[in-house]
Amino acid sequence: MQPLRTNSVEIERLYREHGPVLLLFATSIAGDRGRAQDAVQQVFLRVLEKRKLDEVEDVKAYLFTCVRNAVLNDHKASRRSVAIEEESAWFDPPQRDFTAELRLRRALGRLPDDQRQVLVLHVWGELTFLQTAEVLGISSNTAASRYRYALANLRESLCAKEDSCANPSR
Amino acid sequence: MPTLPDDQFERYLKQFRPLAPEQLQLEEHSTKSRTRALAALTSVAAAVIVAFLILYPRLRQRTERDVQHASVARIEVPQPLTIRSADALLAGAPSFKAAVDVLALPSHATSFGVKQSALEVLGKDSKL
Repeated sequence: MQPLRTNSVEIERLYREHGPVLLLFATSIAGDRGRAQDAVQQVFLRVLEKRKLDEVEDVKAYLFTCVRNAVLNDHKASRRSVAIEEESAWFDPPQRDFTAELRLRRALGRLPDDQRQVLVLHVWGELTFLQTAEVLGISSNTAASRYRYALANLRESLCAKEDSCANPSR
Repeated sequence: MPTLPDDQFERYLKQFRPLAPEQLQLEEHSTKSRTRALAALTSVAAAVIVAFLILYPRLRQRTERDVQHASVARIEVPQPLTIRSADALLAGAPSFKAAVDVLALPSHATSFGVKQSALEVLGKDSKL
């Protein structure tokens, strides 16, 4: 018998496990941390209310899809490009290097939306290209190709002026 | 300038761990659900009360009418019919028409008193 996933304890576990990356993904689409937070909360509460999770095969990919839809359904989000908030961090940086965190955030903000989403899903969400493709409604080849471009662009953006990529431990 | 190969660059990026979101507001949500359920229950109760208030007078009227008809049917026509007994009959009858029906067709009072008017029957007879 399949375990019952849709109870509050399980929802909270999923929230703890995937919440940070879902929030990052939502922020990378919305650009606004507050609205991203609202979207993620909304998704989890709706999942709890509708109790649909038992029928879902790939819960992680499903949650990412729901979060993306929730953000895009917001009228404002679908109409404007991402403007990165300077004051709210997205990451807990290594060695508390908040300058590097800001640099990474800005570099992510400069990426095209589609590349940024693929990058977040694959690197921090640890989704396969197949799962990424499913979430974004594209082919897995397109997902892989966007990822390569995203990685190259991000590296160029981060490493063009400083040597931060050549010396990650810095 | 040397740059990292893809896998090392990925590892570098993964060192930046996404920040945790705010705590999930399940308590507030369940309170909201309870409030919503209570509101739904209240609306249903209100609807029932309104429906009762609308329908009750009609039901009551109908019941009273049935009782009146039944009482007409139970009226016994005094024999012999005198002015006094006719006055008493008219006083006790719910309407003039009902009293005439009983007086005109005493043997069929039960059935005619409710369903058919003696005046109508007599009207039909005169046409024949």
